[in-house]
Amino acid sequence: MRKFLVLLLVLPLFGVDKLILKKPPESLSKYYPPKSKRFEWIGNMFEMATSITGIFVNINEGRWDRAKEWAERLSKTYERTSKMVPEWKKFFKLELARNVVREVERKNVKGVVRAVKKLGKTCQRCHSQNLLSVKLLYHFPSYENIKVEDPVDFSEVKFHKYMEKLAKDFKTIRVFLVEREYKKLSKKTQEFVERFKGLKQTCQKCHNSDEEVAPFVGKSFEKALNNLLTLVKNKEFKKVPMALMISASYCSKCHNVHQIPAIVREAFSR
Amino acid sequence: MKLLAFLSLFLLSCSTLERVFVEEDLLKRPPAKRCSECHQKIYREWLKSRHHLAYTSKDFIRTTENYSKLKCLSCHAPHQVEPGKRPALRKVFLKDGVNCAGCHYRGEDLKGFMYGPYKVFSPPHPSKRDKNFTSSLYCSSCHQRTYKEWKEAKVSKSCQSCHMPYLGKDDLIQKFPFDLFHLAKERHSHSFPSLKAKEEDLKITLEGNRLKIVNVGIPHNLPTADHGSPKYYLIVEGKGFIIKRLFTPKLRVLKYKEPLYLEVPSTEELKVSLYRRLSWSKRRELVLSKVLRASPSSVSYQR
Ligand code: HEC
Ligand code: HEC
Ligand code: HEC
Ligand code: HEC
Ligand code: HEC
Ligand code: HEC
Ligand code: HEC
Ligand code: HEC
Repeated sequence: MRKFLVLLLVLPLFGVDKLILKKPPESLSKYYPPKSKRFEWIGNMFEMATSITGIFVNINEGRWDRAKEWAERLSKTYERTSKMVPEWKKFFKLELARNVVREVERKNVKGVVRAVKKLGKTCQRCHSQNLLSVKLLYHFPSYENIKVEDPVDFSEVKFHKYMEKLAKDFKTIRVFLVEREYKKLSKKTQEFVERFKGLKQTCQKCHNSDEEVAPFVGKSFEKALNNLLTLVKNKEFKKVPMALMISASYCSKCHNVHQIPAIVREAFSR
Repeated sequence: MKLLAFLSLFLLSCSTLERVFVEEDLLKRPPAKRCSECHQKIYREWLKSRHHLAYTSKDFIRTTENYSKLKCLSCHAPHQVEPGKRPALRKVFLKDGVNCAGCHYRGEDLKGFMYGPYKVFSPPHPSKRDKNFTSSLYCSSCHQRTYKEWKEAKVSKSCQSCHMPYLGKDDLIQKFPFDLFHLAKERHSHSFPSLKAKEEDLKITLEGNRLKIVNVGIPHNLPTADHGSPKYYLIVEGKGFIIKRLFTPKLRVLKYKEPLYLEVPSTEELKVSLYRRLSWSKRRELVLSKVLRASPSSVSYQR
C-alpha cells in the first residue's frame, strides 16, 4: 500500500505529449513582482502539493482525522486559487476537489487515490499549457533594460545591440583570416577582445557576486582571450582559428544558460 | 527666568525625563522628514546625497525591472545597518532610500536605540554610542566591494574622512528648546559627496614606449562600484594616432598604487586626457588633461 501511495506524489509534468508556450493572462501579474512581493500564485501551488502529501502521509499512518484536515485544506486552496485568474477558471473542477474530501471521510483508500488522480489531471492540464511560460516570464529577468558602454567607441548601447556588435566582430575576424588581411585582423581582434571583456559590465546587473559568474568570465575566460591576443601579436596566425573557437565557447556557455528565457520573454513583451 | 527654571528641572532629573520626553514614533523608523524637525541641517545635507535617491533613482528602477528583482532591494532601502553585515529590506517608506533611521536605528520598534558616533543626551529618542560609525567597516555593509579594495590598500584614512567631510563644530539639532541644552559637536557632511580625483591623485608618466598611470591618492579602485557602473575614459593622442581605453569596475581599473601600462607608438608629444562618468550621471567630466613629452623630466601641464 505504501509504495502505491508514494508513486502518486510525483508532480504533474510527466508524460504529457504537448507543451505549450502561451503568453500568460495579464491578471496573473497581480501575484508577482513588482505588483506583489509575496508570490501568491506559486504559494498556493506549493500549499496544494503539500496538502496532497499530507493526505497520503497520514493515511499511510492510519490517521484519518488528520488526513481529512489536509484534504479540506487542499479543497479550500484549490477553490481560492480558481478565483485568482478569471481567464483560467475553466481549468478548475471544484467538484473534484470536494470529492477528495468525501473519499477521505469515507476512509476509502482506493477511492482517495482515484479522486486525487482525477484532480491531478486538472493540475496537469493547466501545467502543460501554462507552467513553462509563467516560469520563463516571471522567474527570469529581462535584458531589455541593460545598457552597455562600448569600450571601443565609448558609445552606450543596449544589450541586444552589443551582442550584434560582438557577433559582427567575430565574423569579420574570420573573414580577415581567410583573406590573410593580417593588419586588419590584428586591429579587429583587439577590438573584439576589448568588447568581449567589456561584457563583464553587465553581470552585476543580475548577479550579486564574482563567484556566481566566474565559470563564464573568470580566469579561464581571461586566459583564452589573452592567448588569442598574444597569438595575433606574435603573428602565429595558424593557431588563431583554434583560439577563436575556444574564445567563442564562452559565448555559447553563456547563451546556454541565459538566451532561451531571454528569447521567450522578449517574445511576450512585444 | 521661566526658561531657567525649566532648564534646571531638565538637568536634575535626566533619567525620568528621558522617558517623559520620548517621542515614540521616532523609535518606529519614521521617514527622514520626521528627523528634520530637529536635525534640520543634517537633513538638508542628506537631501543632496545619493543615499536619498537610492530607491527612486531612474537607473535603479530600470535595472531592477521596476523593483521586481527582490534580491537587489535591501541595500537601497535598509531596515538597519549593523556594521559589516548586509542589511535586510525595510518594510516601510521604501522610497526614502538609505535614510536616517535605516542607518542610525537598531532594534525592535520602540525597544531599540538610536546609534551614533557620540555619547549624547537625547530625550526624544534614547541613543547609544557605537564607535564603528567612524570606521570604514560601517560602510562595508553595503559598499562591500569598495571596502574590500580599501582594505587591500592598507591605509588608515576611513571612508568617512573623505566622503563625510568634516564641517567644524555645530549643533546637531536646530529646534527650540532642545538646542539650548546641547553643546556644539563635530559635524560631518551627510551629503556624502562622490568627490573627484585631483591632479595629484594620478601620476602619469611616459617611460619610453610605455605610458604609466598610477593612482597614488585614492585608496580604492578607480572607478569603484558594487552594482553601479561608473566609468573612466582614457584618451591618448599623438601624431597620427589616437588610443581609447574604457575603465569600468569589471573591465579595467586603476588600483591604488598599482601602475597601469599602455603601449604607445613612439612619439615626441602625447596628449593624455581622462574623463569620468558617475553611475547616475549622464555627464562626462574632465578629470585631467596633460601633455607629455618623450623625456619624462619635461612634463608640462595644461588643464
Ligand atoms: C490554472 C492553472 C493551474 C492549475 C489548475 C494548477 N497549477 Fe500548479 N502551477 C501553475 C503555474 C502557472 C505554475 C508555475 C508558477 C511559477 O513558477 O511561478 C505552477 C506551479 C506549480 C508547482 C511548482 C512546480 C515547480 O516546479 O516549481 C506545483 C508544486 C504545483 N503547481 C502544484 C499544483 C497542484 C498540486 C495543482 C492541482 C491541485 C495545481 N498545481 C493546479 C498553474 C496551475
Ligand atoms: C538579465 C539578468 C542576467 C544578466 C545580465 C546575467 N545573468 Fe547570469 N544568470 C541569470 C539568471 C536568472 C540565472 C539563473 C540562475 C539564477 O537565478 O541565479 C543566471 C545564471 C548564471 C550562471 C549559472 C550559475 C548559477 O548561478 O546558477 C552563470 C555562471 C552566469 N549566470 C554568468 C553570468 C555572466 C558571466 C554574466 C555577465 C557576462 C551574466 N551571467 C549576466 C541572469 C543574468
Ligand atoms: C551574458 C552572457 C552572454 C555572453 C558571454 C554572450 N552572450 Fe550573446 N546573448 C546573450 C543573451 C542573454 C542574448 C539574448 C538577448 C535578448 O534576446 O535580448 C544573446 C543574444 C545574442 C545574439 C542574438 C542577438 C539578437 O538579435 O538578439 C547574438 C548574435 C549573440 N548573442 C552573439 C554573441 C557572441 C558572438 C558572443 C561571444 C563573443 C556572445 N553573444 C556572448 C548572452 C550572452
Ligand atoms: C544601507 C546601505 C549603505 C550604507 C551603510 C552606506 N551606503 Fe553609500 N550608498 C548606498 C547606495 C545604495 C548608494 C547608491 C545610491 C544611488 O545613487 O542610487 C550609495 C551611494 C554612495 C555614494 C555616492 C556614489 C556615487 O556613485 O556617486 C557615496 C560617496 C557613498 N555612498 C558613501 C558612503 C559612505 C562613506 C558610507 C559609510 C559612512 C556609506 N556610503 C554607507 C548604500 C549604502
Ligand atoms: C524632537 C527632536 C528630535 C528629533 C525629531 C530627532 N532627534 Fe536625534 N537627537 C535629538 C537630540 C536632542 C540629540 C542630542 C543632541 C546633542 O547631544 O547635541 C539627538 C542626537 C541624535 C544622534 C546622535 C547620536 C549619537 O550617539 O551620536 C543621532 C544619530 C540622531 N539624533 C538621529 C536621529 C534620527 C535618525 C531621527 C529621526 C528618526 C532623529 N534623530 C530625530 C533630538 C531629536
Ligand atoms: C549612510 C548612512 C547614514 C545616513 C543615511 C545618515 N547618517 Fe548620520 N551618520 C552616519 C555616520 C557614519 C556618522 C558618523 C560620521 C563621523 O563621525 O565621521 C553619522 C553621524 C551623525 C550624527 C552626528 C553628527 C555628525 O555630523 O557626525 C548625527 C546627529 C546624525 N548622523 C544624524 C543623521 C540624520 C538626522 C540623518 C538623516 C537626515 C542621518 N544621520 C543620515 C551615517 C548615516
Ligand atoms: C583618501 C580619500 C578617500 C577615501 C579614504 C575613500 N574614498 Fe571613495 N573616492 C575618493 C575620491 C577622490 C573619489 C572620486 C574618484 C573619481 O571619480 O574621480 C571617490 C569615489 C568614490 C565612489 C564613487 C564611484 C567612483 O568610482 O567614482 C564611491 C562609491 C566611493 N568612493 C566609496 C568609498 C568607500 C565606501 C570608501 C571606504 C571603504 C572610500 N570611498 C574611501 C576618495 C576617497
Ligand atoms: C550589498 C548591497 C547592495 C545590493 C544587494 C545591491 N546594491 Fe546597488 N548599490 C549598492 C551600493 C553601495 C551602490 C553605490 C556604489 C556603486 O555604484 O556600486 C549601489 C549602486 C547601484 C546603482 C547605481 C546608482 C544609481 O542609482 O544609478 C544601481 C543602478 C544599482 N545599484 C542597482 C542594483 C541592482 C540591479 C541590484 C541587484 C542585482 C543591486 N543594486 C543590489 C549596494 C547594493
